[in-house]
Amino acid sequence: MRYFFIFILFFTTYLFADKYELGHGYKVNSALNMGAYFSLDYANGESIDRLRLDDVAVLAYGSLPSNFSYLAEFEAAPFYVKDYKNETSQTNTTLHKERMYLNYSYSDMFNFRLGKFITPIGYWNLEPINVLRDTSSNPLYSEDMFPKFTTGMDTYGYLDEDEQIEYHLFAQFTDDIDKDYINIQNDLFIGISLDYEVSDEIDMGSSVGYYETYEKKEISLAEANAKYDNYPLLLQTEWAYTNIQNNILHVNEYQVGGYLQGMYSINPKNALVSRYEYFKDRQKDVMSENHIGIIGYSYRPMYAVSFKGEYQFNSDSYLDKAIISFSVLF
Amino acid sequence: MLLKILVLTIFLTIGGFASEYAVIMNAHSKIEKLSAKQIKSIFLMKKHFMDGVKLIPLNSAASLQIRDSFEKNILHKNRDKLNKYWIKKHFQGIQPPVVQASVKAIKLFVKNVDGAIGYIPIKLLDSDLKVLYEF
Repeated sequence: MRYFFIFILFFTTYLFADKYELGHGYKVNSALNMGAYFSLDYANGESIDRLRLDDVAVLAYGSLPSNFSYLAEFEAAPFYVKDYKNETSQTNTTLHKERMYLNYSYSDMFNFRLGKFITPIGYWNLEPINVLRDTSSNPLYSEDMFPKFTTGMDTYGYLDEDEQIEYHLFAQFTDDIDKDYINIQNDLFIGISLDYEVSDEIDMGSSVGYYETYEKKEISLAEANAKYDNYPLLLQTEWAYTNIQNNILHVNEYQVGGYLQGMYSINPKNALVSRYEYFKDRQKDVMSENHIGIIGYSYRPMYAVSFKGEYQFNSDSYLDKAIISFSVLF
Repeated sequence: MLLKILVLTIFLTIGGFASEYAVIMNAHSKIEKLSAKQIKSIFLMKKHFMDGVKLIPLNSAASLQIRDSFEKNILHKNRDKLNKYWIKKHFQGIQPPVVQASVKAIKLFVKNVDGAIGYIPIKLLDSDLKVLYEF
């Protein structure tokens, strides 16, 4: 009888469910939801003049029997690049494994994820696609300080009854599933991440980790992040420090990076964005230090469709540039 | 006259604050009461289990008044904010609660499926249902 009603439940759900909405995916049934996204951007400055169709991706996910679920995502990036400065163009149609994992939920406190997943550090890394972000560019912090993906196991869940404190305990002891498609090639990564949702408006978190790269570097990471989201104002900040033991040069190196971003929504569709970034990289006897300021505008006719424009001021003015982008999540 | 107005005002005020809707599970459920915070966690797909039972939250159709009231009083999020929330969850591989076309459909399934949890007008309650929260 129970199964009959479950069948009726899902049958009527199919008949009467809300119609497809952009950005919410297409639900075939509970075992198969499909989605896709892409972004198109154009960057122009003294150092760059480039049109790029980036992040052309498809994803599928769903629930399986016995508290199992899965997600698979494939992406071609950059799909097409036209470099007007060097008068070259490049097309890349190879689909890489962006995410591919199986979840098992034992309880709200203990969930297990096996496969390749987004490294659960901070905010920016967990929303890595253009359409979910409020600027077209990524802060250097999110690109150069830790591997964006982990191939291994993540134990995660909530530590309290009210689901306000979330933890992740993740580990990788092998190469990435798609080792040519990750920002930092590594074969070991362990980390702990905590997130505390203080209230509907305030959230904060912190992570520590350790990883080893193909370049024989042993890197320890400490990160902290905080967010204040009270419409029309959204403030977000993330900072990290890495201590790098370079086993080829036998020297100790480090990086410090982070950003503070503010967004003021004029109305639900239009917003002003500003960001300050700092990134200091002390590697191979070379010290580089960047201060980057960004002002931008975001227009979303609906949340899953994003038009953004920004101007970047770099401490090295040669790198100053304007970027406009258009992105959609299906 | 003044006394009549005072009595009427008190009556209307109490009437105005009376609950119209109830969060329900079937009468066999071991769960006796839920807080608004717990219900919010269940319907935002953060809490999936309770007393060893896997929960199946059921939303009413977006066009119904009861859905507006639930989102305002329990989830404390407007439709824009919820839309943004579920779009981000879609990217993370998480779908929102299953939608039922009518409160009668919610009632029928809550009665017959353990773990199903929904919300209906109080006037539709009967002895096969257990009230966990009123709003």
